Amino acid sequence: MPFFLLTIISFIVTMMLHIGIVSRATLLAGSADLVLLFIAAWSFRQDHKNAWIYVLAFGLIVGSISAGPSLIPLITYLLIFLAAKFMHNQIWRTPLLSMFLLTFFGTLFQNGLHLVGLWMQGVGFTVNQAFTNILLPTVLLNMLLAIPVHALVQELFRSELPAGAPL
Amino acid sequence: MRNLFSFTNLRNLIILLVVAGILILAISGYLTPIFNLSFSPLISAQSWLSQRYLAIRDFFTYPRDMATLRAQNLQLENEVSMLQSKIVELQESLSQAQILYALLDFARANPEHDYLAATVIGREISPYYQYIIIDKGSNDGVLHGMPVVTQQGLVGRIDAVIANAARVQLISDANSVVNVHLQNAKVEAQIRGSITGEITLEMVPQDAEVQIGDVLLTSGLGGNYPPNIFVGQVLSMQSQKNSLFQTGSVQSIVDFSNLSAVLVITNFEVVDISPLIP
Repeated sequence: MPFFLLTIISFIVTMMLHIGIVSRATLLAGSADLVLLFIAAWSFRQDHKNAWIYVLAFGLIVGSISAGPSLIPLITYLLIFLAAKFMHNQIWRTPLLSMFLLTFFGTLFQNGLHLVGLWMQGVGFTVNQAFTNILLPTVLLNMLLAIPVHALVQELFRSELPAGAPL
Repeated sequence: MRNLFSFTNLRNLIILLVVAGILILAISGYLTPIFNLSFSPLISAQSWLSQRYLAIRDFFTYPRDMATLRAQNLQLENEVSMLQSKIVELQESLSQAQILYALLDFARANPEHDYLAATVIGREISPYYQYIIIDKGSNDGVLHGMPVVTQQGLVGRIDAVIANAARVQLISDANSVVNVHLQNAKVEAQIRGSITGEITLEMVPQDAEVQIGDVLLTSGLGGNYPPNIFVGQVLSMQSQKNSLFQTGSVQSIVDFSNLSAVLVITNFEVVDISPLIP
């Protein structure tokens, strides 16, 4: 299957799974971010010149669907993509470690942006409340799902980019 | 005549008479004990022989029957699986029908509004915002600001609309404020959501006597929601001497985590009072 088609179908399926199922499965008030995990895992294997355009499009789509500030997914996904490229070049021998690091810091970054956005909107909350009820459970769920999502995405795109191909 | 009473004929006659006598005795039942005694070993022997024959026949034909039984078993297992999946489907339909009946009852009990039933197809991507996505949009007449309810009470309002779907802001969202009326205390107040989905009661005057369990209804103030829609109950109240108002927590009657179908009130016109706000 062509790269762009596989990428688009995978992204749509991930979005549907996230909105329909994953976001309903909450731990306290937090929930896993399947789209973030997909983009992190997908970014590891990309050597396409225009891969960043896909990330830009994904960020815009998620931003338009989400009720939160539209720029947050866009900035987060682009940074995750750049970080994934950097890590792939530096510590490519330990992809799972890279995935964990990317998931952990990506989730913290995105949640931090959301909290800043809410604070700017004048929404009252305590950091302790956000940290205990949303941030920590979200990080935990994302870390738990990081391995299966990474394995699935690597397997999906393996045929598209066979082992031994120059990266 | 001499030949007629010859020895041979006499012997045949005697045999005939004996046989006829035995037959008559057998028919009349007098020989049953004798038959039982004499046939019993024969029947036992026949039974033994038959059983051995069947056992030997089964021994030779067993693999063929096994294959047949396996095929039948597989077929039955398939049928059981199919029936089980049908049961699950029917249970799902029943559950859906029960929800729709409940919504229909609510619509009949509140005929002052026009309702549009919608299915919840998703939730907001970010856990910091409390929104749901429904499968009805502008093609079905859904407009921004329309209130959304269930048979239990208020859910929220339409926040964004596309052709075939809409996003609903729940009353538990951090940016949601609903003007409410405390039924027993007869005072006006506000409820506000939070990032974790908890709902707080605000703007309750200090002199108001609010009891735990008091019912909250929409007041209709502000023009965002129609009046007298059930919202929830007071869970707890806090009052501080130096503050102007009491605050409290509210238990919504609607379970937002398990929403599967909602009603959109389509004949409610939202009043935009923002130009009046200085």
